[in-house]
Amino acid sequence: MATKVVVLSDGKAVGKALVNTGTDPRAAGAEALSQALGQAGLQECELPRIVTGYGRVVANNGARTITEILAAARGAHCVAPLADGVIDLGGQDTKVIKLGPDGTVADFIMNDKCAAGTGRFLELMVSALGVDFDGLGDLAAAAAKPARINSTCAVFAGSEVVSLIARSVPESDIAAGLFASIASRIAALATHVGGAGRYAFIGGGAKSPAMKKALESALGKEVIVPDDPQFVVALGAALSAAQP
Amino acid sequence: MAAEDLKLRERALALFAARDGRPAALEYFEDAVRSEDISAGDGPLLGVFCNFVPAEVVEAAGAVPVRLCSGSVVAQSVGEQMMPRDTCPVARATFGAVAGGFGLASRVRAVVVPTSCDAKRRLAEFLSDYVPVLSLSIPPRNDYRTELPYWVSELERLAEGLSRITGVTPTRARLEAAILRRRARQDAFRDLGRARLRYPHVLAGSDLALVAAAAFAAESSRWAEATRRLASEVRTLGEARPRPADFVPLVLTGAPLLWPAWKLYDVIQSAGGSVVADTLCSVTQGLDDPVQVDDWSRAGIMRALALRYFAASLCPCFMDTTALTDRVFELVHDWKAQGVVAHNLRLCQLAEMQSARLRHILRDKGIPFLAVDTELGTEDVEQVRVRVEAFMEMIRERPCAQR
Repeated sequence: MATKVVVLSDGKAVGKALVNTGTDPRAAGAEALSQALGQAGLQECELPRIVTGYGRVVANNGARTITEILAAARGAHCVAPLADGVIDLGGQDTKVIKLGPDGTVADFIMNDKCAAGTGRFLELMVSALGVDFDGLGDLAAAAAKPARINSTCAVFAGSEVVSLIARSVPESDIAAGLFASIASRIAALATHVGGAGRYAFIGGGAKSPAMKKALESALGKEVIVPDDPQFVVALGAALSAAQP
Repeated sequence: MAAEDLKLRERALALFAARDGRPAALEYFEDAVRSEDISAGDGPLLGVFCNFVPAEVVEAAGAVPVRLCSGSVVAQSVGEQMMPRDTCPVARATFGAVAGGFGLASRVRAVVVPTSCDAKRRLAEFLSDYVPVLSLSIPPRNDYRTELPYWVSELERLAEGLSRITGVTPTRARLEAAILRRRARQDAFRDLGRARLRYPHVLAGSDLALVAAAAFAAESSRWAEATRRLASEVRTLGEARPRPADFVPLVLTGAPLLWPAWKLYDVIQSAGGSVVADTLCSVTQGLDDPVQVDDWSRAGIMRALALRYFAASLCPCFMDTTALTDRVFELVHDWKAQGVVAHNLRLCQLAEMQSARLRHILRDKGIPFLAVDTELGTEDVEQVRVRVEAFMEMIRERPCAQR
């Protein structure tokens, strides 16, 4: 889990910081804010701010809060104005948002409450294959025939990976299979909100080219990955803070 | 464990009682869910489940029906000692309440378990180790033209079984008296419904659910009287208090929200939403339909009861999604609801499948819809909160014309 801060000045992001949340969202928030302000060359001051994400309840220090769904919609609409759908693959949750005109939320759906089909799932699978996150993507890029992974529960998928290894399925095919399994879940979520013409793909998961490729294949269309996709939700919160 | 279960209930009561300006008449219902309404003088208690057991027959047999369907996580953990973990949470909790001797479950002389779903069928067997069980076999097809004779015979079998337990025969006169008594209860609930329709902002969704939960555990006439008092207070308060400008009425559907597992009410209300109407078997379904008797002979009465309890629930085990959808549309229209929330209780597959259908149907009509996948406990409250708050943000962002 990570805490991200975006500082806006005249509508431009002038400071960005990402800090590992650990067990203290307040401290992580304060640290990320101070880093982002430092980058922007600003002092701690009375900037209007908005807190979003799971930490919004404990770490808001009296600031306004919005959910990450609204923040994701606003941020994505800003960085990818042509998108009418948003796919956010984060550490804890996966969301698909259908955008209305002006980037409003027309509908949304999230994975069920466990971390199945989220970035967390991939992180756990990384350890099962003994590589790091980038390594998993590199492996997947070399896949000849992606393995079929049916479980979306990280625990069950872990057992499935062990069985595949035991059957001498190449690691690269297993890696590609893991990305494909998440992608197909996301595609199913997208169907539930009625689909979109063009998706912005954001969140930490969007940094992975292998994930993007798997998702495009599952959706049957290209997706837009903005720069720094993991900051789009924080950007959306900052944009909301800038509104009166 | 029974003490822990009580503590859980008191915490839930305190949580919802904290709301400002609640009607004073709710006090009776709080006492009733504390099992304080029913006294020994009311007659032997008979445990029932779901909405398919005709309360009139139970009352005519001289017993007081109390509905034992439980949402207690404490009871669930007791139930888990015998039932597998991956079975219906309500079946586990309900079994646990009986096995652990919690509240009214410890005072019932027997139980009637309808075969309303697969979990209930097996629940009956688990319960039979602790308490005499009468089973009520619901016709598998929901076509009364072919199934009614069988269902009438099943209700006759129930009447016989009950009279063996209580020593009282449900005669024609006793059945008639019970029907009229229950009708007073249904009238009172409908009266409350009319008061709420006029002033939907006065009574919180959780308070309506409290009224319903009290009906599980109260003598008919006293409950009816208290409900009338509440309706009158709702009207008085409604006159004095204008509806808030940011009032967001919602319809709740899906699996039952059984007391005290009311996390969803708490989260919705904290996010500024108001559940004004529902299709839940734990709330409105069991309370508002009277028995319609054309022929007051004993056979005529039994036939009328059979018709009333034949399709007594929108439960997906019996009804197709069309019936639910029609009802949801009707409620959205009548209550000017701005969104629909479906409660998906984990392991209730049919409810979950139905809510997936409902999502698509409502989307096509432009009605905001949220399905919440959850369980009886509070371990996932933040996940539920994110979804509900985002849903409220989405509704509030909609242009007024679309609401």
